[in-house]
Amino acid sequence: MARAAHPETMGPRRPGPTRTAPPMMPPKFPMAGRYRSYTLFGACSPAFVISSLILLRITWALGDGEAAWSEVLRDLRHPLSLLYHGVALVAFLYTGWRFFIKLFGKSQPPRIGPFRPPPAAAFPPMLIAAWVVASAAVTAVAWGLVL
Amino acid sequence: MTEVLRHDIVIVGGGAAGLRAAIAAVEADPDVSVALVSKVYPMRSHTVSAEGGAAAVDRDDDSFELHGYDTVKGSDFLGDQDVIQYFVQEAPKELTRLEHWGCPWSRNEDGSIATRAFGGMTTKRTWFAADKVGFHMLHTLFQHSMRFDRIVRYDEQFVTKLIVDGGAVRGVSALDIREGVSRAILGRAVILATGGAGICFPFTTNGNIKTGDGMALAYRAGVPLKDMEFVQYHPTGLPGTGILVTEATRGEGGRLFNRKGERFLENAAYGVGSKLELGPRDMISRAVDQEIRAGNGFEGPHGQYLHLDLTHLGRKLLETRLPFVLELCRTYVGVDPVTQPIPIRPVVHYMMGGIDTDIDGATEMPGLYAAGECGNHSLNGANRLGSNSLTECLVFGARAAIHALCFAKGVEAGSESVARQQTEEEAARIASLRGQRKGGESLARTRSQMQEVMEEGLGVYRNQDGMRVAVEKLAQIKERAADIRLEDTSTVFNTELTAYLELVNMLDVAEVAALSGLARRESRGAHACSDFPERNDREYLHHSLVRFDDRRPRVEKKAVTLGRWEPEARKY
Amino acid sequence: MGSNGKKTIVVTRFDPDRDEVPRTQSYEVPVQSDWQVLDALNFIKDEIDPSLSYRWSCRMAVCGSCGMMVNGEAKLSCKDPLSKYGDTVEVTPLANFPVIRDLVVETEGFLERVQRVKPWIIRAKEKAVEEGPVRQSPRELADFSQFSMCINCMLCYSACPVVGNEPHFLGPAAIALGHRYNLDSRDEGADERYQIFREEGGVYACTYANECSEVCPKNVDPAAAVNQAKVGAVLDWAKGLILPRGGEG
Repeated sequence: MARAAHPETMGPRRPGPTRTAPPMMPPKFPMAGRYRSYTLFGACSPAFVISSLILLRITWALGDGEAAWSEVLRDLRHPLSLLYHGVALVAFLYTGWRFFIKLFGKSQPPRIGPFRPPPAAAFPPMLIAAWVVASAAVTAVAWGLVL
Repeated sequence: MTEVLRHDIVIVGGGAAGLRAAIAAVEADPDVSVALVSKVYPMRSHTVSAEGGAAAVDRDDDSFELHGYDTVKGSDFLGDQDVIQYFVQEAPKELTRLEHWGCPWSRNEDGSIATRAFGGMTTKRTWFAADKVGFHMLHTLFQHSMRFDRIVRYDEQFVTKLIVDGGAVRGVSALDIREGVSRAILGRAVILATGGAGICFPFTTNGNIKTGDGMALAYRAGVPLKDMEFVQYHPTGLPGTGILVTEATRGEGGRLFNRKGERFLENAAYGVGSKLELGPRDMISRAVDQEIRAGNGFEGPHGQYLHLDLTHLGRKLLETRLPFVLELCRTYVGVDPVTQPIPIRPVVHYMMGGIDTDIDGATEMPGLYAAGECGNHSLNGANRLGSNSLTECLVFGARAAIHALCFAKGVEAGSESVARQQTEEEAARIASLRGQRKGGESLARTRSQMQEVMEEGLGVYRNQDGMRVAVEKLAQIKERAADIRLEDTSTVFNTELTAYLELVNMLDVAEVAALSGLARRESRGAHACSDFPERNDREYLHHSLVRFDDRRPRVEKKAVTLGRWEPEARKY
Repeated sequence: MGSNGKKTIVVTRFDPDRDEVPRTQSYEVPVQSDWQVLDALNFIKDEIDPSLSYRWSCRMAVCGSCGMMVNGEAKLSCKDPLSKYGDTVEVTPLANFPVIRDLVVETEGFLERVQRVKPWIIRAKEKAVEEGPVRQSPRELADFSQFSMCINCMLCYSACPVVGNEPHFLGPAAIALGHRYNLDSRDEGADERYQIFREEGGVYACTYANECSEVCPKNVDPAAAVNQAKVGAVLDWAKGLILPRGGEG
């Protein structure tokens, strides 16, 4: 059964001359049909907040000396942290797939000033290539292969 | 107390003609107040379904003279030549105006307007926006009309009566479909632009709203309807639904085939000569009809049909120029025109006839104008050429508005008390209809009976006996219509009530069409009589008028305005 | 076409003259195999219950009148084959709209939104007819042509999760229409529309559920339009910072 929408949804500025039945939300919202994908997309956002805080802490620790840095590394190896990062990886992949692969390409205007962005279909391969290269670079740095 | 609203011009109908008229009026006069009254929201008007294009001279190899001659010949010499001359000259200006207002016309590589071939036209002069021309024109006009706050819209208001006082029209009584109340909308001039009446027939390309309302309003007020026997059958409708497959399919190179695989239009007897699929609609519909009668059709679940083949045109052309045809065929008959021929059969498409007007759109009644399909300026005569009607809506919508404006300046506004009294009578009549229980006739069945009678009596081919039977049966159906039982007593959005009002309108229009047909004992344009197969200029080179006089229809004649082109044999 | 047996059509009914709240009513309908949902409703109206109210006209998916929810999805009922559903089909009025009667919803709020985006060509100096048509290359036409295909059927508003929570949201079709004019090479009014897009309830209220594009029967892809307009609106804002416009900011 559908839930009620905001009572003013799609009403005219001046109420109409006859009594109306209130607007209802789309019956499948939020968890049925295609809305599930959208709701999950939204549900991934805490991962971004938490990971941002973790990044902040790591950056902070870099300036606090050897001991602080070791503590961060120890915390990161904690089983709960590993578990979180596993979940976060899935969340990032899902968000990335939905936003960058599915939606990003068509969100580019046909012209930006004098420039024309590449066609929408070109974005997924370009973005995947960029992601592979960036991941390889980060991995290389992390393994100590470069720098 | 019944509300009385005041405007200078009242326009009934929000399709291309009505919107064009509204815009023309407010552009011409900075102070004018226009009421645009429509029984639907304007973007639902049936203009939206037009597919193929709008004609206007544009190319170097074309001329007003050629467009004029094509139109005269297409009309089987029943078009008034002064009207046609004005029309062809104004056509390019009107389509250019629409371009300036944002209509997304298809383009040539150099950015100029692209044109395509159409039936009965000598050269490519049909402007198009892929195959959704009516849709784009209507939305462009509707959106452009939103700029003007002096166009006051009355959406979903069903006009049930013209307010007439002292022999002149003073406004309209309109039923608010949502509220169920009637209001008087006073105007110094009224323009009817309510479209055609295809729903008088069971098998039509027309939308459900095309019920001849404006024609019936004028007719009942004593204004004659003209040339109503000329009903255009479009050769290519989808079996079952009657959905239109645009003539642009043939303009782009589509071919018609019968069951034997013959391109039957090559048969000289069909009269289209070397034009073949680009012949005029009346001739091609007759050819398709004859092929089916001769047993050369394919057998399908909705009767016999022929093939329209586009497969040789290639996917790219079809996807860029005829995307809507692809969508319609795939959705409604499960055929992909890229690889399969389309099943088609003739289908009622357009009423050449309408409210009798002069070149200005003025009717006999002071203050009453008509434009678009519901009016008859004698542009289309006995057969309209494809792509002339969208342009007609613009040219004569604008002209009617300018002349209505001039008229309005010279007259006082109508009397409020008369308007109120007439509207209160309407309100009482409508109130008594809601839940009317006096008889047991079914609305839907009565409508079907009318439609069957019209299909039998006024088909692609007609004959005297058939039309006489139609007239008799329509009279009986009209009587029974008074006994229709209406179940819905609600005041709010009572669509059973509006369907009943529409049926009453259609019965008037249908009767007029049958009577006009019976009086024309010749074959001309779309009026093909099997018992009078020849055109008879000596006796019938005149318009048919039917006037509601003394509560009875009376058939009259009206002279045709000839000009530089004398009637000649219509050979292609 | 052959009969396809019977289906039960469960329709939401609401008549403000007598119903406090909407109710449902079931109809047994003998259906044909090539019927759309609209054909079943027309059968009900003609043969069973003439008081059922709904809008329809063209029955070829272009007038935009007959939008409704069929088994929970926003559909044009004239372009929704019955054969793909089971024995019971539930038809309710468009979600996210006040209901006037049965399957008829309030349209005024939608048209107010359409009008707000100034859906007409804005030019500093209007062209005279004598100047002839403006040149526009096929490529320039293609820039906006998809977004000009909207038939105002309002299905996108019924699918959008933002519309039902944020009553000021302009919504998919109106933004797509405004964006269509912004992209038109003949138009010079983009800055006016971008200002409207940046207001509360403008393009940034969109959370990119993409449902509008999923249900659009004409492949307009309003979600693409809205999100392109987000980019455009921010670029326009940045341009305004660098090159201040006279008058309103």
